[in-house]
Amino acid sequence: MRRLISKRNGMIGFFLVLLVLIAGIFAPYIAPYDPYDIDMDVALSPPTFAHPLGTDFFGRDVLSRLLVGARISLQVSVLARLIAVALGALLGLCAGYFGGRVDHIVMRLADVTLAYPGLLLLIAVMAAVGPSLTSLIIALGAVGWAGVARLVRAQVLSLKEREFVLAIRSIGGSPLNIMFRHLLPNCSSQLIVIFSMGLGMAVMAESSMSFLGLGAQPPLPSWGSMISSGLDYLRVAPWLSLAPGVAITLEVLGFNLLGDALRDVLDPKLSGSGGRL
Amino acid sequence: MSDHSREHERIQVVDPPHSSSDGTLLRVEGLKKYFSIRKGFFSRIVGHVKAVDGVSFEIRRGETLGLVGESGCGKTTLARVILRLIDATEGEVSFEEIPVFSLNNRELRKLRRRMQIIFQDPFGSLNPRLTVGSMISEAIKIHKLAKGGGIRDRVVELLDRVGIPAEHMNRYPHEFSGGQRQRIGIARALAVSPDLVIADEPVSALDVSIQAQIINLLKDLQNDLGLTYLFIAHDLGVVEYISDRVAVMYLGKIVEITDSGRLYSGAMHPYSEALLSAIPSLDPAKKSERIILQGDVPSPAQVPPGCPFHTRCPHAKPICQQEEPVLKEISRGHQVSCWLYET
Repeated sequence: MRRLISKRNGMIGFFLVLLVLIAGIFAPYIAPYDPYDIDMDVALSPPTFAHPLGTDFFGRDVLSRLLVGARISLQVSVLARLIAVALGALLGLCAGYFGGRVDHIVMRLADVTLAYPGLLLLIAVMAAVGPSLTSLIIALGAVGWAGVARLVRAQVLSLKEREFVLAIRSIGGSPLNIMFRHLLPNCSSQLIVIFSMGLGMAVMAESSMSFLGLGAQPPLPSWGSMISSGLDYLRVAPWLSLAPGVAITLEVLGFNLLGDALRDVLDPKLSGSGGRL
Repeated sequence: MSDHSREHERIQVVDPPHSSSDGTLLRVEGLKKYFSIRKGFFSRIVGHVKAVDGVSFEIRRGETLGLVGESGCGKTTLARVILRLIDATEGEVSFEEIPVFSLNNRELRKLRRRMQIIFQDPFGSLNPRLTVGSMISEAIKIHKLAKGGGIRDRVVELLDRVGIPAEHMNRYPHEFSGGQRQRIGIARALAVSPDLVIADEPVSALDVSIQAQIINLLKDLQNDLGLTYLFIAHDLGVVEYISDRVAVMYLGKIVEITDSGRLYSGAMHPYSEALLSAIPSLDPAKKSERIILQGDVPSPAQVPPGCPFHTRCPHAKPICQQEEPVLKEISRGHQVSCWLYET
């Protein structure tokens, strides 16, 4: 941890993420107004002391909506990455350990998943199952597993030839015991790194999908849908799109810097292979 | 090689006969392990690395068989094939008359308790994410050899036996030195109370002073627990000290096998002679003729025809290039495969 913030980039990333975390966790307590409270008297008000980031078309406070939006953004990205990492780790573990046909099937599936542009695949999935945050989380997880699976498989392939694994085999350990007690824990630093490196991409994906109307549905204050609804008023009220845009930028930047720093600390070998959708 | 693939009776692992008639614990017959070399787009098999090529020997209960040979001659592969950590290409291994290669998974797991391995690299053989205690207790739990508090008592006893303070139970491998790690590896192998321990170069990665400690530990354990060792090494000095019999391996084959004392006083195979002449003498007055072998070990992917050693043998005869000698008993308990001793 100390090594993590001893680097300048790591520290910036850490504080940006901390900022978003605080906003997301304490949003209901620190938000000055109810994010859903419509007050047509102050509609499209520019930033003032009463409304530091102005108000939208319905007179809802942008700052309050932004703070609550942080919670949605975090929820979706963290849950989606958890699903992706769990799924990818499990499949990669099986592919690497069993090899042969299992390996072939899993890795060709991963190739197929990786061959499509992530967003395109997401749009297709969301169009098929209908837009909602839950299905967005699941779809993001289902698209993101392939990169994790590849990484874990490679790691398992090298680990399973190590002598401590041979030792457990010669003692008579079952495959499940070897996989989950000996192989997986030795992938943990790689898993942490790829989890955090993918968070930024997940945030971007959530915002993009919400922007397109395929993610969070109104009146939920997702940053992506806030940008999209602000577009109509871009000339008269630029803060409507600008504020969530800046927020997304900072959050993604924070996650990426933190992810890079984590990678440098935990796993210097793993560079260049960032998280992919 | 039809004589090697003879029929074996299937004997249940449950309650095996505790000792067979002649006291043989492990019998290896015509064991072969070829790794295929694949090339090109369709992964055609273009050749074989003959890591182990027709090895046969027996180990009696309670004895130590030393196995020596240069790096790359197939010693480690032989050890792993015997334990079925990798599959054999041909041949048979029987442990107390139980054919190891025809066991199913469940039977194999039961047998694994009785054959253990100690590895060469004390840094690679311990899982860096597990404490010493949990590593050793895992073996006990897998075979349900103790329950509850009994597990902890057993771990303490094992650590004590190999000379690791029991209070270090909750430490991780990186907190120990190479010699201590090797002791932990030994404790893990002993956790299941095995009959046979295969020690795969257990001391070659250690300092000389620590080597002696580990060798003595292994000897003590053998005396106390009645263990049988297959002791693999490339250092003849170490092997002489611990072994009752010694097998010399060259390019996947055993070229000479005899009692330890007889090998060191009168090795017969030219390769054994050369190996022995390389042991430094403690007596400066004793000028020993050192036999320097010419050339390198041929690649195990292209083993020379005839006797595999003829390319480097100082006594090579024309027949050595054409026909391969077989392992023959020259005198009681002394087998050599060399044309020099054919009559």
